[in-house]
Formats: sequence, structure tokens, C-alpha cells
Amino acid sequence: MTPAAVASVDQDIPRKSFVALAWRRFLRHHLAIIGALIVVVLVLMAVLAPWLAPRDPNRVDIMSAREGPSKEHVLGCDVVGRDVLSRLIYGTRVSLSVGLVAVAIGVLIGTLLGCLAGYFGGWADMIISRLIDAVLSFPPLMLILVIVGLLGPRLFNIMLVLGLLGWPQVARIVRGQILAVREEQYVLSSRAVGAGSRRIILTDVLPNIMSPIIVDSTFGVARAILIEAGLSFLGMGVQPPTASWGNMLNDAQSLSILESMSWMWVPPGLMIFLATISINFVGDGLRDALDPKLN
Amino acid sequence: MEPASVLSVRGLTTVFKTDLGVVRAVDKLDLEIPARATLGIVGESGCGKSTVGLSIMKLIPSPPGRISGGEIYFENRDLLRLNNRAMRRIRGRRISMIFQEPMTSLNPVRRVGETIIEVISLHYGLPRKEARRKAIEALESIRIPEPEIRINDYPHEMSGGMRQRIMIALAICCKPELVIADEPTTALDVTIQAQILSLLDQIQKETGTAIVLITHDLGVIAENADQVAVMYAGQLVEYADTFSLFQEPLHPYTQGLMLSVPRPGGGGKKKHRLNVIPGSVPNLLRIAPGCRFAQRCPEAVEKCYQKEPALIPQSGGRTVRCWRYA
Repeated sequence: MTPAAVASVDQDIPRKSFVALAWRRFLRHHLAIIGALIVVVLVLMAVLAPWLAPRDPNRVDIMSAREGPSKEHVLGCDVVGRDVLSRLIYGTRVSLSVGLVAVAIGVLIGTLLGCLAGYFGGWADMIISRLIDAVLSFPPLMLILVIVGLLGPRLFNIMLVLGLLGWPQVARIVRGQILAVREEQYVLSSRAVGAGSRRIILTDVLPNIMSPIIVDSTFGVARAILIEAGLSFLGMGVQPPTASWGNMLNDAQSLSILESMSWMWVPPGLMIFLATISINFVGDGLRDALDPKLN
Repeated sequence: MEPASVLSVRGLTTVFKTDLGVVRAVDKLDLEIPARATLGIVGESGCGKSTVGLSIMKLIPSPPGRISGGEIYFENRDLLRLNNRAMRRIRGRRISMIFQEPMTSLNPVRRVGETIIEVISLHYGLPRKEARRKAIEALESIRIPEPEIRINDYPHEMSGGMRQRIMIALAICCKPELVIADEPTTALDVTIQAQILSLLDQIQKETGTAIVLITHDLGVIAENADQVAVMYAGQLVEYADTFSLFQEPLHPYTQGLMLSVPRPGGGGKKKHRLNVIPGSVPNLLRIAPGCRFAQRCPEAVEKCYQKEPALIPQSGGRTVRCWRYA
């Protein structure tokens, strides 16, 4: 065959990029698709909250306090007469933003330190690894409560604390992956054409370890949402009147509400459950789709 | 006329620290790499030939490796004294390297074109568009059909031979004075081997780059090298032009290597066994005094076990490390 003929035969094979292949594998994962759809709906809810919410979520109406579901208040009202559905929709903003920002902080710090430790090794690795061990050896909830207590329970403080506690996980993954990728032949050939350490980390190492970072971040978002809900439930999280799923659950600490006014606590509980489980499904799907060994 | 050399290695010693002690993988090696020609470095595995290539590039994995002595002169500068920054400007631009494993030498998540474009813009500081044009030129020069299309391929969409071509494109895209090819065809099948070697040959004719061809395959040497350096146990044992070496190998080790190449039908009626060199490479951790090949040498005499021979100059610019020629 002439070179041209060889090339034209080659042409008939559809060329798929890594992203396209991963997307196809992801589509085969049904739970992940359902999860992704739910996540999309949640994101839309958070973004469009002012237009979707039937009422002002913070408007107190004592007259309709503890009212059950009705035509006016589809999911009823809470103890001070605020519309539960509206608060639920606005609560999505809090949960998603806490999840995303906390993870972003954690991934940023974790990736940076993990890179330094894994690529350069030596004393940098020594110091960073001990730091990871130190942070991981604190009981997290206690640490969170103490720090939030000291800094004040504001939304950003919660994000910050969750991020600062989340980085060691990421750093550990990144460090381990880099130790493996660093020895790859293509890193050596990059150095052989004159690439420096920064260029090698950015173009050779990081893109090859993105998959585990992405997967871990997804699970991290779910984790952060849960912790925020727990903190708010304990009263150390997002402060009223701002609505969050966790502080809506706070009302359920009263026995009479728990027993006879399920509209106040079942919906936020369901939302937390739905959000975390869908994000975890997406994470599972991504883990399978992004696994380079399946290429 | 003796060709001028593009790079000269003097007294290069590269050591590796192991749990059992320090191994001198390359021991006081002197080597002149002729300009615009191909120097073959041949020897069995573990003789230090790959370490020579990595030492010239200053890419010895450290730890455990270290260049402990010697000089490597390139354009009147000792590469071993250059700092990392200056060395990075030489790698890929002035001296480049092709490795043995084309399957793993390319970053799997980047299009091959990206990798080439990056090298070009790194060394020439060209804008992307310009660099891309040069990258396509580089692909053309290594005879890749439809380079505008293949430039967007991922490594996994290419065969081993194609990938090795890409590695060659990477090595030559900045027109270096010296290309070190470390077993460039060992991982490829025979027909592709021939293509790759003739490609290297054509590139040399077009650009005049010097090539160091590291291989264990005497056939490859015979076909492609102009000069040959034979290495044994970290040392140079014989240096000659290819024709004289094959015509009349001087060192007993070189003679042994030549005899251990299988010759189809060479035995006539009688079936003959393949000649092998008895014994194996000495343990570099414990080097006995005397010639390193003495234990395996059919012609060793008393002196060979006591004193190590130096490289002894012979006629025709050849040198050999053997007492028989003293």
C-alpha cells in the first residue's frame, strides 16, 4: 500500500479524544446520569432561587406559623410562619456554595502541597507529609466546632474551615499519584527536550492525575454539604434568618414538631439526602469513566 | 581528514549508589563524537552505554546516580559545569535524545502536536501559529502522511513506529547539532526498524546533525555507524571506524561479539553451534585488578590479571584496550 492509502484507511477509524471516550463511558452509568440530572436541577434551583421561590424566604408571618401544607404554602410554614418551600429553594444556595467553595479551597491547597511533596521529595516531602498527618490526627468535628466558635459562625468561615480540613486528603492523593507519574518515561523525555520542573508539573504531571482529583473533589462536595448540615443543625452553622437545609432541621429538635409536623423537617432532610447521594453517584460514574486503564 | 568533533567526553565517571555499594557504571570514559557523522556505541546490556547518553544530557536519575568526575565539552563549554537553566536551553535545542520505548515516551493525555509545538515555542519563543507551522514541517520531514491531520492525534491513536517517528520529530524539530539515539529501534519490529534507521540517516544527510547510536545490535552498527565505540564493563575497549572494525576486530571482546552473531547457513553441511563468550559481565561492585575482560578472554595471559591495560593507539586512528597490542 502506498502511504496515502494507509492514511486513508486510518481515516475511517473514528478518532475520539479522551474526553469523548470518558463521556461515553459515563453515559453507560445510569445512576450517575440520574445523579447528574438531579445535580443540574439543584444548581438551577440555587441560581434561579429568586424567581422560583413563591415567597420571600425570610418573611415572618406569625398568623400562619406552624401551618400545614396548603394551596398558599405548598410545603407549609415553619415555627415563625416562613414559607418552607421558599426556604428550601434558597437553602440550596447555601449547601451547594459551601460544598463547592470548601472543596475548591481544599483542592487548591492540597494539590499545591501534594505537588511539592511528591515531585521534589526530600525535606519538602518530609515537612508536608508530617503536616498532613498532623491535620488528619485531629478529631474533625471538634476542631470545626472550636474554630467556628472562635471565628464566628459565618458562611465563609464554615467554608474556610471545611477547606482547611479537607486539603490533607487531596494532598495525599496528589502526592501518591505524582510519585508514580514522576517516574514515567514521558517525564524523562520532556526533560530531554528542555522542559523545567514547573512546565513538567503543569503539562505532564497534573493532567495525568486529574482523574483522581476530580473524583475525590466530587465526594468532597457531598461530604462538605453533610458537615454544613450537621453544623447548622447544631446551631454552629449558617445563622438564621438565612435559610439552610441544616438549620431548617434545627426546628426538628423539638419533640412536638418531630412527631406531628413532618412538613418542617422531612423536606430539608430529603434534600440533604438527595443532594449527597446524587453527587456521590456522579462521583462513582466519574471514577469509572475517567479511569485511564479502561482506555 | 579526521572529522572535527562536536562533543568530547573526557574522563567521564558516573556512579550509582546501591544498597550493596557504589557501582561505577561508566568509568573514566574518553570519547570524541565526530561532527556530521554517526558514532555507534555498542556493548552488552549493563556495560554503561545508556548511562553515557544520559550523562551527556545530564539526565542521570539522582539519587541514586551521580556524575562523579570528568568533563563533557560542547562548543568549548563543559556541560557538567553548566547550571540547570543553561542546560535546559541545550536539551532539545542543541543536543536531543531519542529513547527506547516509543510506547511510553509520549504524554498520553496530550495531542502529539501539542508536545512538538511546545518544544518549538519553548526554544524559539515563537507565537503559537508559527510554532504550529514548524511542527507540521517537522512531521513532514519525518515522512508522516497528512501531517495537518496527524498533528491532532493522541499517542494511543498511533502505532509504535509512528510514535517513534514523533519522538524523532521532537528530537530534531529544533535542528540540534547532536542527537543521541538510545536503542531507538529495539522495541520495534524489524521492518519498522529499518524504516526508522533509514529515516535517521536521511535526516542526517539533510541537516548534518551528529548522531550517537546506542545499541547492542552489531547489525544496526554495521548498517548505520561511521565510527564505533565498543564498551565493556563501563569502559571503552575499542574505537575504530566501522569498516576497519568489522574487517579486523582487534579486542578479543569485539571478536567474541562478532562471532556470537548468528549466520544463517554459515556452517555449511555441518550444523554448528552459535559461538558465545563464556562467563558474564563482571560485577561492577568488586572489580578485580587487571583487565576487566580477562576472566572471559580466550587469550588472557598472566599480565592481564595483574595490570589493567590503557587505551593503546593503533594505526588508522583506532584505539584498543588490550595488552596484545601494546
